[in-house]
Formats: sequence, structure tokens, C-alpha cells
Amino acid sequence: MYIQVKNLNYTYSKDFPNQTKALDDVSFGIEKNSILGVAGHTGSGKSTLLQMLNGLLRPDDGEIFIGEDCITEKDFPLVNIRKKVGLVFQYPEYQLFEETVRKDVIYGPKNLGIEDEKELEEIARDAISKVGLDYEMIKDRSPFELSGGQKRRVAIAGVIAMKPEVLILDEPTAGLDPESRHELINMIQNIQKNENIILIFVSHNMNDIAKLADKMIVLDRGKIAMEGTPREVFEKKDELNSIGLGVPKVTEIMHRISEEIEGVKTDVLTLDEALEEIARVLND
Amino acid sequence: MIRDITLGQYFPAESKVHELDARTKIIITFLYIIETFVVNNFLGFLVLAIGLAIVIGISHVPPKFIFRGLKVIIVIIIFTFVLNMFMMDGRVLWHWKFLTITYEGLYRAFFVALRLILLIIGTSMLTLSTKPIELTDGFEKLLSPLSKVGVPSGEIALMMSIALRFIPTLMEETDKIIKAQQARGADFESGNIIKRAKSLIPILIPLFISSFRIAQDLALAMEARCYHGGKSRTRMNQIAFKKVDLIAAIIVLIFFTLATMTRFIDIWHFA
Amino acid sequence: MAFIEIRDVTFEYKMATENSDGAGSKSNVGKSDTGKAGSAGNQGKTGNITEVVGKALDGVSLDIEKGEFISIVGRNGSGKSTLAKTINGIFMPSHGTVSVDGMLTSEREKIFDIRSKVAMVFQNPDNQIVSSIVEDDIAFGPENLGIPPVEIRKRVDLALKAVDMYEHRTKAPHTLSGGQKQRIAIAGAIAMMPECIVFDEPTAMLDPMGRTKVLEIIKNLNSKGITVILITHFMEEATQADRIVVMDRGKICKDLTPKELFSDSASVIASGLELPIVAQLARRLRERGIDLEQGILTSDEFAKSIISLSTRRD
Repeated sequence: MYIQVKNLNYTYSKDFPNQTKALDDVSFGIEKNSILGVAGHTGSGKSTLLQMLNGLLRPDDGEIFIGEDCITEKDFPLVNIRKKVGLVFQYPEYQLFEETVRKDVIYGPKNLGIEDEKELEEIARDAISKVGLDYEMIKDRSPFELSGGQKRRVAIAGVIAMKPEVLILDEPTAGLDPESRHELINMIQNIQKNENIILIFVSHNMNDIAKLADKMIVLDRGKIAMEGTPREVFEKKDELNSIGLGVPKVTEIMHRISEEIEGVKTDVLTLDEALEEIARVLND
Repeated sequence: MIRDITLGQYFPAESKVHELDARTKIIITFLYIIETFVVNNFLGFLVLAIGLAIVIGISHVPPKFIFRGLKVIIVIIIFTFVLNMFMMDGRVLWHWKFLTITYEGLYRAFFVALRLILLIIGTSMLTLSTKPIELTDGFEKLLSPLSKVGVPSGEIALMMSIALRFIPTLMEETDKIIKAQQARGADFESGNIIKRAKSLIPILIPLFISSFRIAQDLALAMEARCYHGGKSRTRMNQIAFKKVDLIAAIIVLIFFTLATMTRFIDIWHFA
Repeated sequence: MAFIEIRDVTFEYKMATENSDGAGSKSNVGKSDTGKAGSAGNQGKTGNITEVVGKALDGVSLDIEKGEFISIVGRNGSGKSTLAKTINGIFMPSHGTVSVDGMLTSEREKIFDIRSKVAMVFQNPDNQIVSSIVEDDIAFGPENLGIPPVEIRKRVDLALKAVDMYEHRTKAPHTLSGGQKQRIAIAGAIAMMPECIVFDEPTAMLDPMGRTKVLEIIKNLNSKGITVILITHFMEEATQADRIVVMDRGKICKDLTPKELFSDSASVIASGLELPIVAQLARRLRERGIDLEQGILTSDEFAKSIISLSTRRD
């Protein structure tokens, strides 16, 4: 495992009446060049976990290893964590601030100590084209006059420009219309493939997790409630329902059919798999 | 963390202090502020501190919660303390190069720091024990005589209540933006003053834009809910003075008189 | 005469540059209550940036009957939200008229009657709550209407119960979850005793649990006779309505029942929308020559028709 998260614990507002355990002995691992989906409700500890992976919060105890480095070590330089791990928050477009798109995208790389103008220009060009925007057209425009979807892409480019080995996205498609959502999901998938990075993404959309993730974890009240490949996790429909989460729509449909017809497979995650299974059932 | 700021927040609880009419509490707080400046000796502060301790006790607000509010202004307290400590002439206690601590300086430093702490804890008891809405209603009622001379007391009160309502929201927003920029490698803690001031731009601009967005959204939402100024507006919560207000007022006045009288007792005399 | 009549409404606004994804995302430029038709914002800029007049709405006509549940869907910037805001006179159309129960939104003296008949719930739960106490926030609308205090109290309690938030009535909004805050916003609308509530993407910022609960409340309100206009990006939500209005580039391009709409997959996709998964599955099966009936939208319906097909073959 390239990333190893070991026994993370974290409590908010310790010793106060509103004390809450945000993370409770959380451990998991992520393979190199893979995609991890994270599911869970608001308040399940997701965002605490993401912030720890980026060094924004330190666990009360527990460790996070990325490769050989233990990033939770007290003297591990923050700047090195930020070089390794890029974190894109929810609604990242709200963090844009520069006069031009180009300047905003190189804010991160500059903070990491890159000063050479030519290099920065290359970085900006590269990052912006990776998020599917036309660099020449957009580089000198104000980020504030772009459309919502474009703003979000620029914000993501600002993190990609830091060339992280691990890219974390917190609900990247929140608030987008269906078309933009599909485009963004495909874009993210492509970036992960082409860069051979680790991708961690939080989503409420089980269809997206089923489509993208190699592995998923489900958080519930600070604990890892479930862990495994999407196929393994989504097989436990009742367990998911009991913590108020669902399975992908196609899986749900197959479950519904299997109640009436015997021998129908329910570990179905994609539309194509569902088609095959239904065709099989009907042709039997 | 930014969310820990309790200054100006309301602490929901059921107590006699919470029950008081907001107007009573506003007037008492106002007098209390004057009183902390009238008092000129530690004995007077002791009286005020005892009174305050009783109020805190009755209010069911955990002292921990109150002191957390002090954390934010600890820098100001230390600053005034240090300033006063070194800036007074008098009997020398300690001397090193250009720094001199005098007996009078130390006395003064403690005195001012204590005044500040009493002021802050005392005034924060008002916001901690009074729902912001009651507070603004109280202000509105107290200001209403002025509406005859054209002061829009209803609008002022609503403005204050909205400001209070959005403090936590904006704090959260600030927290989010700071973290987002930190994730992009921003460093707010090193460098000289100019560099640090510059490093705030990536926080301030998004925060500014967010505030405008919130204001615009809120204005639309208020319009949709038929807001059209204070005219012909009714209020769900009707407020009236009760017996408990009278009792509180009498007790508080006794304490204030006691504290004021310490001016005339000469036990902490020094030259 | 329909309860709400939108007649040939156009909404123009000025913007600084050509917006590559079509009209719309800046539609709310300074055009509120007091804004006169066609006098949108101060976007006049210097330099090479040109000023363009865009149309967030372009000749929209729509009738909505009392008690109906309609969904409005379309891309970001298609004009859905602008349309919603013209219904209660928050935005005034540049051309055309909107009337609610016979009252025109252009008659400014009737605007508060209109707004108390057509309440509105917005996308961001945080930015529409005015008070730091839940129940005081819900009282805000009735207070503005000048309702007597005792009556307000009754309405607030009723509204709180209707959204299942009565036990949270004295809490501070910022201590609640997004879904709970949105329920407070809905209660604030209910307390005005409106005949119609416009929901402008009420679930966009919520997690699945919050979303389910809010949708349940919306359906419940409609079943009690309140006209519901729901703007949403989630097709599964839109299919709950009696009627779906599809908007694209400021125009209404479809106004159909969910069954009718999602049978025409090509035009749905062309409008930047997606078919509900069930409909996608059904379409693909039909393409394979499996004889599924048209207009299947829920998992239940789908399962039933598969089951009946399989028993027929047995």
C-alpha cells in the first residue's frame, strides 16, 4: 500500500460540552495509481479525514504514511505534504482571488517555491489544458467572469498545477447540472489515468463511486463502517441502508427484480452489466 | 481555531439571567461599563468580580465557555499589560538597559488588565445570556423614542440581528477559505509584516466576494418573505418587564453602590 | 384563468463579455424589486470588453394551475431560476406579464399579496435564514405581513411541525445540518400560508439524507393542495412532478409529463439533461429488441415489467 492510514483519532472541542469524536480509530490503505471513493454523511468525519491527509489537521494520535514519509510526524515540513497531496475543497471556485486565471493557477506552485517565469507559464498552460480549457483564450481573463463550471475547472487546475502525487476532491460535482457533472467526472478520470496519480474523491453519488473507484470506504460517525471494492461494498445493501446510504441505482433495480425472480445477480454496478443480466434472465 | 471564538455568541440555557428582559440587561451592562471606569481600586474590582461571579453562577453558562472567549483578546490584554508595566515612573523594582519596571507600573498593569478582563467578561454575559433577537428587540424598544425624531430603530435592530446571525456563517466561511489557500501552500505565519499582510489577500478577496454573495442572496430571500422595512411590521415575541427584572435591578444597584463606595475607603493606599 | 399566468416574458440583462456557455449565469444583475424593465446593472466596462445584452428569458409563456406540481429543469444558465424569480415579482420582466391569481406582478401595490401567495425557498440554506433562533426566523415572514403576535405563534408552531423540526425550535441555525436548515427555510415559507411555493434547487447543497427528507416534505405539501414549482438538476426528483418544463437558452423547449418527456431521450440529452437511470436502462433494452413498454420511470415499474416479460416467456 502506498498510502497507509493507521489508527487515526481526532476529537473536536475537547473538554467542552459539544465535544465530538470526529475520527475513531480509522485505518485503511490505498494502492499506487488507484482511485479511492469515500462515502458518508455530513458529520461522518469525511472532511476531517481529508484535511488530515493534507496536513491541515493533526490527529490526536495515529499515523499517515505516504510512500516512505510519515506526514503526521511533528517535524515533517508542511510544504512537502502540500507538494505530495493536492486537496480540492467543496465548491473550490469560492477560493479564486487573482486578477487573471493564469495568476490564480500559479498561486500554488509559487507557494511551493517555483519562481522561474517560464516554468510557471508552462505549469499554468499544462494545468489549464488538463482541465479541458483553452489556455490562450482564458489565461488573461478574470476568473470571476467565467461561468460556474469554468470557475470550478480553474480552481481544480490551481491544485493540479502543484503536481501532487495524490489528488483529493471533496464532492467535485456538487451543484453542477447533469451535463457538466458528466464532463467533470470524465475529466477527473482522465487526469488520474494520464498522470498515474492516486485519486481520492468524496461523493454522495453512488453511481459515480461505482463508475470510478477501485476501492471505497464508507464512514459513519467517525468510524470506517465498510471497506472494499465497490462491488463488495454495494453487495451489502441492507448495511448501507441502515446508515442511511444507498447503492447505485442499477444495483437497486436488480435487487428489486431479484425479489421476484430467482437467480438474478445483484452484484451489478454499471448499466452494461445490468443489461447483460436482464437479457440473460429474459432469454433463459 | 476560529470556530472557538465565543465572544458575542449566545449560550442557550434556562436561568434567571436568561429570563431577564433584554432591556434590563442592556441597561445593567451599560451601567456596569461605566462602573468599571468609576472604580479606582482593587477592592472595588473585587466587589464587581464577586457580583459577576454570582451572575455567571446563576446563568448556567459554563465558565470554560466564557474564558474561551477571552482567548481571542489575550493578545490585547498582554499588550496593554506590558505597555503599562514599562511606562510608569516610580519606585524601581527591576531595571535592565532601557527597560524599567516600577511598583506603580506593575500596579497599573494589573489594574488595567483586570479592568479589561472584567469589561469583556461582563459585557459578554449580556450576549451569552440574551438571544440575539431579544437583544435587538431590546435595543429597538430602548431606541424607539428616538424613532419620532427620524431614527429608524426597527431597521437598526434588524441590521444588528442579521449581523449577529451571520457571524458564525462568516467565521465558517473564513475558516474554509484559509484552509483552501493553505492547501495551495499558502503560509500566513512567516515573513515580515508586509509579506504577512500580502499573504492575507488570498483570504480577504474570496471572503469579500462571499460576503457580497451572501448579502445578495439574503436580500432576495427577505424580499421574497415580504420584508418592506419596519412599517406595519408586527413581532411574535412581545416583551414586558417582570418582577424578576425589578429584583435584579435592585441587587445590581446595591453592588454598584458598594463598588463605587470603595473609592472612599483608603486601604490600598500608596504614594 | 390559470392560477399563475406567465405571458411572453423576456428578461434582458447586460453583461460585460460574451459568455461561452450561453445566456444566463449572470441573470441576477441588479434586477430586483425596484429595478425597472431593461435597466439592468452597471456592467459598463472599459477596454476591449464589449457590453452585450443577453436574454435570460426569451418569450416564455406558461400556465400553472392551482394544486399542480411542476418541475423546471435545464442546464445551469438556462433561465430556470430567473423564471422562478419573476413569478413572485422579485425580478420584473423586461417584456411580458406575470399574473398570480389575477394580480399582475407589475402592480406594485399588490406585490406583498402576491409574495404571500407565492413563497420561495432558495438553494443555499445558510443565506436565507435571517435570525439566530430557529423559531424567530420562521416568524419573519408573518411579522412582515403584520399578523398579530398570537396568530404568528400558532403559524410558527404549525410550520415547525410540518417540517418535523419542532424540537429544534430554539436552536441556533448554524448548529443545524444543511438539510435541517433547508427545512427551516421551508417552514419560513409555510408560515406565510402561501398557496404556492417555488423551490429553487432546494436540494443542490444537501447530502442524500437531507435531500430525501426535503423532497418528502415537498410532496407532502403538494398533497395538501399547495402548488409546487420545483427547480432541480436531479432527474429522479423531477420525475415526481405532474409536469416537467424543460428550459434551454431562456426558452421553454418542452412542457410534458415525466413519462412523455423521458420517452424522447434524444431531446432530453440535447437539452443538457440526463435520463433517469431506469429510463436509460429501458431504452437500451428496447434497442436490443426487448419489448418494454414506454414511460417507465421508477425502479418499481421497471421491475414489474421485467417480471411480467419473464413470466410471459416462461
